[in-house]
Amino acid sequence: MIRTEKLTRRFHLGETVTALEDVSVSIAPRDFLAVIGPSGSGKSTFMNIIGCLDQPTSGKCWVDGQEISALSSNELAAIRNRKIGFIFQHFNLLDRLDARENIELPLMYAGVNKRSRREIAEIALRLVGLADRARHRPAQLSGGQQQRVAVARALACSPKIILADEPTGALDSKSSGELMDLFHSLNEAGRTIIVITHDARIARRASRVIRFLDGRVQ
Amino acid sequence: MTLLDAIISTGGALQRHKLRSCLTALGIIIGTSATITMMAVGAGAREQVAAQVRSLGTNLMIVMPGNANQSGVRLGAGAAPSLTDEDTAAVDREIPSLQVISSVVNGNIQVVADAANWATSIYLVDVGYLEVRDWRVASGRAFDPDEAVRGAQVVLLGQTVARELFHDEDPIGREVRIKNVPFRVIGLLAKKGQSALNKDQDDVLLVPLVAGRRVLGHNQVKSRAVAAILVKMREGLSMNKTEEDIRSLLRQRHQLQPLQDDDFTIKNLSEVTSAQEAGARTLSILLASVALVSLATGGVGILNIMLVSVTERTREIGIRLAIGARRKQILWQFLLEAVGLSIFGGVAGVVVGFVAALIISQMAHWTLIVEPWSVPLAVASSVLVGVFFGSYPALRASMLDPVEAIRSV
Repeated sequence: MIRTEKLTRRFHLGETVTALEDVSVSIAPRDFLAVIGPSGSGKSTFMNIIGCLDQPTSGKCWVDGQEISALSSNELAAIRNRKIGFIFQHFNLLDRLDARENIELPLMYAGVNKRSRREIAEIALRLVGLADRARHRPAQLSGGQQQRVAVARALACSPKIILADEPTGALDSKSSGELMDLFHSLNEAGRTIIVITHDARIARRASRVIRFLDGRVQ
Repeated sequence: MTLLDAIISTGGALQRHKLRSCLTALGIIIGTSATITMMAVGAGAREQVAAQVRSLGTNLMIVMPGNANQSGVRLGAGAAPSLTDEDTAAVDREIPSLQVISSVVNGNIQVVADAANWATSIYLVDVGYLEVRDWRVASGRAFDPDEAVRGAQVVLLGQTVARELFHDEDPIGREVRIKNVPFRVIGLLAKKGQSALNKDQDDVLLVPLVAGRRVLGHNQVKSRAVAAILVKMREGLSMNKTEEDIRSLLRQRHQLQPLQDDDFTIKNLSEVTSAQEAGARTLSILLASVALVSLATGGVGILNIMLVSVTERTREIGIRLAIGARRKQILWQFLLEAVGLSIFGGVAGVVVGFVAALIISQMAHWTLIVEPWSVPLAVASSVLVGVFFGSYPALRASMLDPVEAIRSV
C-alpha cells in the first residue's frame, strides 16, 4: 500500500537539518502499523511525506501504487482527498462548522453534491456513534467526541489509508481505548491504519511497529 | 466544490466577524455612494441644461440691435435700434440654412378682461415665432399668415396670464383689452415653465406684429424697428457658419466699413448653455475623484483585513489543504471573501448614495437623476476593487505550506 525507498528529507533552517535519512519501509494493505520514537526522531516528517503533505528531498515514495515525489500540488491534493484520511492530535476541526459540516468538508472538495454529502456524513457519524451530535459544534463536544468526529471526517471519502498523528495525545485513557477499538474495527473492515504515537500501550495493540531514531528506522 | 458551496462558506466566514466586515466595507460604501451621487448630480445638471435649452428653442440664434462695444463706447446690447423688418426679410431671403425666422418686439402692458386685469409682457411676433421657440398651442390655434399680414386683433395667452384673467374658465373666444383696444383670444400656449434666469415664460401675450404696433403706437415702437430677430436653423447645420453668413449680410445691409464694429449682436444659445455644462462637469470630476480615492482607500482596507484574516486562519487553511483542498480552491475561498466584502459595500453604497441623492435634491433644490445603469456600474467597480485588493491575500493563503499551516496555532 505504501512503500518508500531511501526517503530523505532535509530542512534549511540557517543550517541544514536532516529530519529523515534513507528510510525504506513497506506497508502492506490492511496493516495496522504503529510508528514510535522520541520527539524529533523524524516520525512526523515521515507521516507528512507518506500523507502527501510534504515531498522528499530525495528518494521515492509510492502511495497506492503512485509515485508521489514528482507530483504536482493538485495531484497531491487529490491523493490526500481520496486515498488518505488524516487524524490529528488536536482534532483540527473547524470551530465555526458543526460536526456534520466538518465531515462534509472533504466531500465538498471531492465534488460530491450537497445531498449525497449529507447522507454520507450522517452514515459516518453513526459509524463513530455520534448520530445525535450532528448539529453540535466542536466547542460543544468533549475531546473524545471531537476526535470521533475527526475520524468520521477522515472516513468521509472512503480512503484506503488512515494516518493518525498522536490521535490519543489529548484524550483520557477511556476515550483513547474507545478510539483504538474504532481503529481496530476499521482495520478489520480492510483499511490500512498508521498511527504515530508515544504511548507504548497503543503501540502494543498494533500488528506491526516501526521505531524511528534520529531520522532513521531502527 | 461548487460555486454555491463556496458562496455559502464565504457568507459564514463574513458573518462570523460582523462588525469587522461592516467596518471593512465602509470605505467601499463611501466610495460607491459618492459614485452614485456624483452620477446623479451630473445627470441632473445635464438634464437641467437640456431642459433650459429646450424651453428656449433648439438650434436658436438671436440677433439683437446694437453692440456692446461701439466706437470704443461700451453700450448694452439692444441699445441702438438698428434692426428692422427689412433685415428680417433679408435674412429670411438670403440665408438658406435657416428653417424659420421671426421678428420680435416686446413691451410691458396692462391687459384687461371683464373684471380682472394683469400686468404682463407682450410680444409682437411673426407667424414663425412659435416654431422658432418650439412652442405649441395647448388649445385653440395660432394666428395664420393672413391674420399676421393684415394685423388682425387676435392674441395668444400664456398659461399664467390666462389663469390670472380667466381663472379656470376657457379663455378661447373671449375678449381682452390692451390699451383699450379689443383683442380676441384665439389660443392658449402650452406651459413653458421657468427660463434659465428664473423668469416665468408663461406670463406673456403674443400678438401679430402689425396689430401690436398699431396698439403700442409710435412712442414705444419705431415703425419698422424690431427688438430681436429669432432664427431657427435647420437640424445638423453649423451654427458658426450661419452666424457668419448672417453677420456679413447684416453688415452689408447696414453699410458698415471693414473696421467698423457690428451694430448688432448675434447670440448663439449653445454658448450660454456650455458654461453651465462646464460647471456641472467640474462638479462631476470633483465627485469622481472623491469616489476613486475612497474606493482605493476602501480597497486597501480590504487588503489589510484579508491579510489579517489569512494569518488568523492559517491553521484552517492547513486543515483544508490536508483534507484535499487544492490551492486554487483556497485562492477562490479568500478571493470570494474579499469580493463578498466589496459587493456588500457596493450594494450598501448604492442604497446610501440613493438616499444621499434624495436628500441633496431636497436640500439644495437640485435636480438629481439616479440613472439605472449607474447601479451596475457602481457594483461592478466595487467587485473590481475586491478582486484587485483581494488577490494578494488570497494568493498568500493558497501558497501556504500545509505542514507549517497545520502546526500553527
